Parts: sequence; C-alpha cells; structure tokens
Amino acid sequence: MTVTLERTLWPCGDVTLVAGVLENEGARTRRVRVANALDGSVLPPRTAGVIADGWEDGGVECLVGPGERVPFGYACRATASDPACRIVRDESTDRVDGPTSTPRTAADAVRDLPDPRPPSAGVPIRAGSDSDPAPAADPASVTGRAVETRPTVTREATGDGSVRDRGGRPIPADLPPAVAAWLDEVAARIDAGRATSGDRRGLVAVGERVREIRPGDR
Amino acid sequence: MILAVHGGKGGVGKSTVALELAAVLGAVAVDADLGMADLPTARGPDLHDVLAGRATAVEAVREGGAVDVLPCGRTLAGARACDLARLGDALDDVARAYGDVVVDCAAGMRADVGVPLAVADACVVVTAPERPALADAIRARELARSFDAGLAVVAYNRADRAPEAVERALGAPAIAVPDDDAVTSARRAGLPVTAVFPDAPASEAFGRLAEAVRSCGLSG
Repeated sequence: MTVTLERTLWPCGDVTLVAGVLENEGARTRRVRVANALDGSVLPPRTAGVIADGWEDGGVECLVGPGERVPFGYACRATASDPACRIVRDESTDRVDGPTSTPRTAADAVRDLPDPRPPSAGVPIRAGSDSDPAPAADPASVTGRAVETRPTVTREATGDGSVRDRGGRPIPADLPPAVAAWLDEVAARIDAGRATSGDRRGLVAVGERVREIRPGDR
Repeated sequence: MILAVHGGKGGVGKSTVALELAAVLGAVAVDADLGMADLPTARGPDLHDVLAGRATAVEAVREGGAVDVLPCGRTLAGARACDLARLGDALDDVARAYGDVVVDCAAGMRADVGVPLAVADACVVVTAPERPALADAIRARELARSFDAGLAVVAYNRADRAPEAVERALGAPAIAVPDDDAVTSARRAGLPVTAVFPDAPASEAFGRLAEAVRSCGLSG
C-alpha cells in the first residue's frame, strides 16, 4: 500500500469533526476509498446543500496522483475515538483525470446513479387492485383538438356476472380498465370514421402482442 | 438522432424547451421524468407501461398532434414499477422507428437522467438567470460529458440575452429564450408555442435553438 492516511479529530458537542490527508508515495495514480470508523452517521461536506463529489455510503472515494496529497473532512454524530477513519480500498488505476473520464453506458447509469423511483413506502396501496390507476385524462392532449366529451361506452352486466362490450362480446375479466377504455375509444372513433394512424398502429401492435402471448386467440 | 434536454435544477423550463425543440425539429418528444411528468399526456400506454414491460415504446407514441409524444404516467405506483434498464432500449426503439427523438429529462442527476444521456447523440442544457440554476447546469454538463453526450447548445431560459460568462462556464454557445406570455398560454393548452404563436419572440428563440442543433449535424 503506497497511500498513507493522516487523521485529526476535534470533538465538537455531539459530533466529531474528522480531517484527513491522503498521500500517494508511489509512482502510479491510486483509487482510494476511505470509510468512517466511528460509531455514528456521517455528515459529508456540502456545497450549497449538494454533497461533495465522491461521497456516498459513509465514505469518500478519490484518485490520488503520484506524489499528491488529497485532503478531506467530514463530521460524524459520535464521540471521538481513534482511528476515526481508515482506508478500505487502495488500487492502482490508469485513469488520471477522474472517475468519470471514460464514456459510460446506459447500464453504468442504472448501476452507478441514484434510483429515481419513489420508495415503496411512499406508494399508496389501493385495496383490491394490483395495477396502476389509469392516468388522468389531460383536457388538452397533444392532438391540439378542443376538449371533447369522451364517447359513451356501453357496458352491460349479464346474468352470469360477466361484462360484455357493445357488440355483445365478453370482455375478459383480467383486461385492465385503462386498456378496455382505450379500446372502447378506438372503437368509437372507427365507428365515427375518425380513426387516426396512431389508432391503426396501436391496434396492430396490440394484435401482434396478443398473438405472442395467447396464440389461441384470434 | 437522440437529443437529451436536461439541466439539473427543476423549474428552469426543460419540458418547455424539449417540447418546442421536438416541434421545430419534427421529432418525437419523450417525457422521461418518471416521477413528475410534465409533457401533455393522453389515455393509453405510456412510458411507465413501457418500462414495466406492458407495452412497446413505439406503440406508446401518440401521433397526430402538433408534436408526436411518448408521454409518461403520473402515478407513484407506475414510477415505482419502472425498470430503468429498459429505458435505453426504449429510446433507441423510438429513434429507429421515427428518426429524431428529444428526451425531456428529469431534474437532478439520477439514473433517469443518466440513461438518456448515455444513449443520446448530444444534449441541450437548460438554465436560467439564477445562481443555483447555473451551478446545477455545470454539474449537469459534467454528467453529460461522462456519458459522452456532447453539449450542442445552452438554452438560457426566461432572459433577454445570454451572458458570455454562461457560455464560458458551460463551454457551448448559449441562446436566450425571452420570458413570453405566449409560452404560458400555449403550454396551458398542451401545445408548443412555435405551433400556436409562430411570430412570438420565444418562438423565434426556439427556432434558433433548433437551428443550433441542426448545425451540429444532429438532425435533418
């Protein structure tokens, strides 16, 4: 290991301020990760509320060039004890101008960048439904047409409890409501002679998909 | 051609710029803001469905309006069910079917921004005359560089002129888009201002933005 770590601690109320300096005495650039060793959560340095580059999961990762000294510092909600931090990874690298110098792929983005999806705890659970609700209709869709009344769709419950469409054909019980509504709208536009190329493309795609997953259906 | 429109900070006008560029370039606008979609929507499959494997990207494109749009769902459950690993292929599929694609990226620097940048041929950074916006734009530019998405032009939104300091900081030409009530009126109707008010000052600015993109050889 050619990288050394100097540490300095300052107890400050309920937190401990930690300062460190990494020094590379070797001839090649090193990629180093330093992890907090105190028993508390890490408060990484921020600029305008934004966490400094390289900080995540209670530690910092940086490149240290040959003969270079790289300082860092953070606070930790814990009492001071030595060692406050330690090097957990030290490896040689040929990349000399930062970890982001090589173009990355979509897979890299998914792996390396934070997940944008809302946490599961923040997603409301609707009783009796395992699918997403249909998106609210936008009164001014991209078609640019004036707001128009949605076509009235006739749905009749039969004696056996099944639901049939306007032509009397049974609607599968597992057809999502949003899909059924879209099909009804397309049917209404076809009946009115107002079908669009998008309708045709959508129907062809749906037909192909149905044939893929349910070859027996026509 | 895939063009990613991003900027780091929210509220600087990324969605407006994306919609207008798509309108002028004749491209498909893809709303890739999974959690807080902004572009006009309509019934039928959307990007949430595409990323959950319930629809293909091409069949989710709405045609026939002023702009072809692949909208995004508005539900938290839909956003939660998305598989980000599908996003790159979805954008590539739309580009293969339609030619040019303009992606309206989310704010921030998370995977839903990184993936469009990774598959994009170039990007447009949107910023505004506010110090936090410029700082975020610089970070966004760095993120784009890491994915090899060249910066075609900077949209300096809601300003009468773009300072040279902005061009120097971001390393690309900047075009100012004036604060224009016509933009507000058009967006309220879910339409691009370039289609509704082609003579508005903002329309002229969006035309120059599109021309800057074309001059990079990025679109026919």
